[in-house]
Amino acid sequence: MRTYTTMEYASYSQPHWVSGIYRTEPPITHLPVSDLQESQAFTAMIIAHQALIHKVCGIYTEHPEDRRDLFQDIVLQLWRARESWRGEAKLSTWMYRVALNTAISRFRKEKRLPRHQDITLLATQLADTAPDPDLDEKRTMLYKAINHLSEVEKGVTMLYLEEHSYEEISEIIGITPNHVGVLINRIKAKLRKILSPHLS
Amino acid sequence: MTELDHLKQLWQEHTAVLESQHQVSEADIRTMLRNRTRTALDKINRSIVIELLILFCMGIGGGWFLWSQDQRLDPQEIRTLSWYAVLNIAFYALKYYLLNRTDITAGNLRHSLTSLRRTLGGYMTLYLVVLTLLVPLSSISGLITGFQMGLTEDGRTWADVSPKAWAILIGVGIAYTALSYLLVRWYLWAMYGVHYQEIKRCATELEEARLD
Repeated sequence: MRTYTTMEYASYSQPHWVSGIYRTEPPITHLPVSDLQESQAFTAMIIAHQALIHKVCGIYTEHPEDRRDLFQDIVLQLWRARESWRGEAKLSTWMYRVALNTAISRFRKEKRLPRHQDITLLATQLADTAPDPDLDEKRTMLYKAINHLSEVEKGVTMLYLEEHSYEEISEIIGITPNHVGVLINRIKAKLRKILSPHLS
Repeated sequence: MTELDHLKQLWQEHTAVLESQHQVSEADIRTMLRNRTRTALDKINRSIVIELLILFCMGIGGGWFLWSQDQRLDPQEIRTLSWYAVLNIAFYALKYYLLNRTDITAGNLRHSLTSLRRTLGGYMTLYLVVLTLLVPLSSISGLITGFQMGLTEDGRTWADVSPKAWAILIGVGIAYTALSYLLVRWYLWAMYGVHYQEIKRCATELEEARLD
């Protein structure tokens, strides 16, 4: 199967997302795109951008099982929404938008665990994956700080840490760049308050 | 802001580890595409199908019971049952329409959350109102039919019913309506209450951020 690089996907600008495939395929045919071709292209796109989905899952879930479920939900929603990507936005911006919408609006039947339980669980999980105790401690601190934020603030923080511009965050979240700035300043103040005892 | 720059650096380190640890293969993605989602709307859609199946089974069971008892329905009873069936179908069709007009992936986060809040709120209100009326209506009509049959067997009419029996009948009707309201409310809250509150809270937070 032909694999696609991130750059190839990101450079699509035609109205229909699948039509972009023909720009990198040899000009063999003008037949309609088959389901197989479409799913192959989609699979390649997910593989190329899976880090993005992992980041969203990591920030919104605590248990590995929940993380897997959310990953699957995001993939399914991206598949359903593939027609809505018109190439006007960057592919990653569109993917973040769908992923965040799915993560924040996912079904919750139970209230969130108390904060200290979140952190204990996370710390245990991180200890399993990170042999470096210093890095482990820092990561726990990072998650501890992020877990004190609301669902919306978590999303904005992640986009900020990913170095997205205010315009891009605004496009994903749905508030003006100025309001994004206000929100980020508020988050920064919150994080500073949470982190200051650890940093001092 | 040095602490936040430090956080950025930590985040980059962490996500690099995350990327290296979790690699999803083509086969995994194909499997995911065959599975069903756990989104709220999909869950509610599945519960609608289950409720319809239960209603269908109850209808078949009721029909079989009447047939086995050699009971013949008069035209008035058939009309009542038909109306009841039409009301149920209309209710489920409306529920299905209300839920599926929302596409959580169509717009930005604020737009999606606002539509989801509206849809879920509308769905819960409709469910509460209709079931609070429909369940007692069907049960009370069953009670009246049974009472009527008893009166006919005794050779009496409704005019012969004592005020005390009327009071009991009305009391049962009111208690049943109140009980079904509480039961439906509890069921709705247990199923979707927490989720609805979370969606509402996030949507409000974004609205407030927009108005700041």
